Amino acid sequence: MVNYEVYLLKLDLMRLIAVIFSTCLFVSSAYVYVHVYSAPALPIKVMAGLFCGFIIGFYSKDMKEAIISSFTVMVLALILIVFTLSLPVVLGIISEPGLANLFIISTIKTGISDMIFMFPSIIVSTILSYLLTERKLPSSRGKSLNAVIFN
Amino acid sequence: MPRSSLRIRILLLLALAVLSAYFLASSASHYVEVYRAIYSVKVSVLSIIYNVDFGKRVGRVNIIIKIENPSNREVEFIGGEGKIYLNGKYLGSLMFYAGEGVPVPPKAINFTITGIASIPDPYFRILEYAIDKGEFNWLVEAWIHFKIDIHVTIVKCYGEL
Repeated sequence: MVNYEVYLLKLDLMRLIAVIFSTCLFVSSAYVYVHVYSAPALPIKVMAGLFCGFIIGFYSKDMKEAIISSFTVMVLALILIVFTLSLPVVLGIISEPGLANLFIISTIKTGISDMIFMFPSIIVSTILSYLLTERKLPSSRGKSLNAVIFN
Repeated sequence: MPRSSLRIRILLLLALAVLSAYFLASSASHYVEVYRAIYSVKVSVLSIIYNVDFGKRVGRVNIIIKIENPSNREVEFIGGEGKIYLNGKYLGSLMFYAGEGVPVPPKAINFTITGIASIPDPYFRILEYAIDKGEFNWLVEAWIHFKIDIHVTIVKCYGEL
């Protein structure tokens, strides 16, 4: 029984990591794509944020987990976006220190301003997890989604 | 819940991660390639020509800069600014005008652009003194703006003549 609980806990952690990792990659790729190519920025950023919130809300066990996951995704996506956009400095293409500093500051500003579009994702994920777990909609058949998945 | 449904959900997450990683990697490689092309551009000072009007105490210096673009991409020159020094003293600010942008073709070797520095009256005596003495040690410090697609960045040019 104890082994089974440990197994479930491990599986739970794995699920959380998988969700955070996947959504973080998704959001970062969408935002970096917008910055690299001349794609319509606003709709892509908003849709990516909402989709991310939908995924987190769908896979979350409860509201608390949804909020924490959304914030974690925000922070990780920020780090990944800043790292990707400052690749010319990291790889030594921009070697002049003054320009490199300017470039890094600019990418950090871009990353932070991008994260504004991630706030709706927190709301969406929280609402969705509330609907799926706390309210126990008929679609979840009276159980929390986690229980549905892992029992 | 049936095991197949769980498997589908995990596969969906995995597919999302793989697809996103692919997009991220391709965007990042394109981004790096663009910056590599811009920063492979070599900018050097070719010549400096000055015109002076001693009566009005007005000077104008034309700075010709050579651009070499060894990459396979067309780089757009969209302007620049800088400072010019004569015999170690600040002479004036320098401007490069490009209108709506001048394309520098790929593999261009001898592409030249001209910058203009207007010498205001307080600094005119530096030019006057240099002409009297016949000593000209020019120093140009310029920031040239280049663009590929939507990426605009600065290349620093530092030249002595």
